[in-house]
Amino acid sequence: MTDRSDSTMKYIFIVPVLAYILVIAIFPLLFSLFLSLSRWTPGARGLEFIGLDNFRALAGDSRFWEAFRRTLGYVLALIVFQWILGTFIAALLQKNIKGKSIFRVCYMFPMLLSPIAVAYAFKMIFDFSRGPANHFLRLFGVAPVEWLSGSTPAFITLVIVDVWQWTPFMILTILAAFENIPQQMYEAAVVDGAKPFRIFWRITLPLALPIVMTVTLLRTIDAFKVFDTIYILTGGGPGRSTELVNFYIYLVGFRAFNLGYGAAMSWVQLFLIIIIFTYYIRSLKRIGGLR
Amino acid sequence: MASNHHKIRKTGRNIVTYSFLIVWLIFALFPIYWVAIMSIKDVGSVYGTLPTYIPYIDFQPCFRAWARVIGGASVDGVRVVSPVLGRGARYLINSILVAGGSSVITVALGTLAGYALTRFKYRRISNDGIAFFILSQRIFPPVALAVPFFILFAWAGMVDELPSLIIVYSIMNMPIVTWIVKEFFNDIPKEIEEAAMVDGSSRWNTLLKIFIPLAIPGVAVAFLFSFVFAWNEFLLALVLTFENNTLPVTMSGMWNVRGPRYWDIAANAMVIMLPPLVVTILANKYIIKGLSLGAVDGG
Repeated sequence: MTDRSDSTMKYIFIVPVLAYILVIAIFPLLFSLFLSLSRWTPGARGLEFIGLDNFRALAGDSRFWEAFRRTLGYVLALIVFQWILGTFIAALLQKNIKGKSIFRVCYMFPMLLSPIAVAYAFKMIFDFSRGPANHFLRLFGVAPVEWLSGSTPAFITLVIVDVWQWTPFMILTILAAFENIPQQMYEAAVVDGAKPFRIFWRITLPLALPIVMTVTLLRTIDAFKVFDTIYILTGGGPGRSTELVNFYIYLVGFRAFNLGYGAAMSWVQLFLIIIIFTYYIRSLKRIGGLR
Repeated sequence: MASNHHKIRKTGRNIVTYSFLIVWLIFALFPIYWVAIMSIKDVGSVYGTLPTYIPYIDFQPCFRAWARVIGGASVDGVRVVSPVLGRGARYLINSILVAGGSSVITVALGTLAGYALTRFKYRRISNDGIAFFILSQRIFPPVALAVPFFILFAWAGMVDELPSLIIVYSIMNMPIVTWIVKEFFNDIPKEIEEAAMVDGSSRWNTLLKIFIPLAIPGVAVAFLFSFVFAWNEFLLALVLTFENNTLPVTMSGMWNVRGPRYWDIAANAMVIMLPPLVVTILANKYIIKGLSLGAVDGG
């Protein structure tokens, strides 16, 4: 009796979620695939099927490919900085530190904050003449930097904002990975008289690697989505120096209202991201990450 | 002698460790502090020659921006209100409705899925397969969903209406909510439920009497996360609404209104940062577990 009611309940519980995802997420995605083969004009004309024209145009659209290259550079820069800083600070926090829980909670504050508010905070901090960033540099005799209106500094500013908001995530996940390593693993090394640095390099880091790679993957997925900080801080400028793919898609889709082309671009972007992740996940499985 | 030498080296290492940790602490907290003090500055202290850092020491605080945030202030007989309370607090109410409404849907469906994935066995598609399918929704950049949603909602006459945002956010948060709930439910021992069922309690009864009371903390954490992410979301609200905005969209238009009024922007930014800060303090034990989708415990 329990068996029969169980087997119906089994479906009553899981079908709503799957149906909801199919209707609300998968259907719009398929629709956007159709959209990428069409031209959409606001008003009466509506959708018009144009075959592969959007993709043909996209292949020759250097603005898109430049934006994509910039996005890759941005994601790579973030991941490298957050990885190095995260590992370094986690290694420090791993020791017997007084006030560890205070450090931990304070480090968490940036993560959940509204990116819009965060972007405004940094817009004020990096203000050329009134911001504390240039004031701080001047204490060391460094000339003020055009943080938001020079092309390289503007790009660096965006990286700094994300490093500020999301390095804490790397610090705390890597710290958790370090602390999960069973104590016995260290004992043999200590008996052998290995130096702390060597122990860290040969034992701590390799054992934590699978988790570190998994959270790096999560971070990478989110890093590709960057939009809000660009919108507030640089608007893609100066010139196009901070125009990343999502921002370009927004401009084409919702400023020029070329939604068909916008859909085509999001599909190409998605396709490229999935290729990158497939390689990444494959290497992740090889080292035993991703559970 | 040798041990003394060792001690000095150890103290030295500790000083280095603490200084790095404190440098990061200052880096992590400074932007929040900067917004906080900016919100109590006025024209004079913002547009001075050098930035000022400490209220009452190097500038006199002025609470006019907060007066506008809280109740509106009169300037030359005209009542001026900040975006947070603009148009009869409509944007604030919208933000709360959208974040709350979407979280109710997401958490309800996510809880069912979390229970199903930890308590039943699916043979045709494995449990892992279903879980991965739900999680994989996370890979889509919001802009990829914004394009088709805009047209579909335009056809349905739902652009600039709150239900459209509620629907979109509920799907946006589904992966993380399902994952958090599933992680929590995994930690609830199944033996108690099994024992109750062996004693003749039906599954429904077991669910109501035994499981749900144990599950409440996990569900609450998932709700808080979902609420904060919907509260913070910007891109989809930007393209799917015109006048019926949420707070982030309203705020995004503040920069160029009559030159940057830093103090007003800062006061509004403080309001928008308040719920996330409260959630961080309340649920800090679960943030790492939640954001890493259960990959680490990090308590």
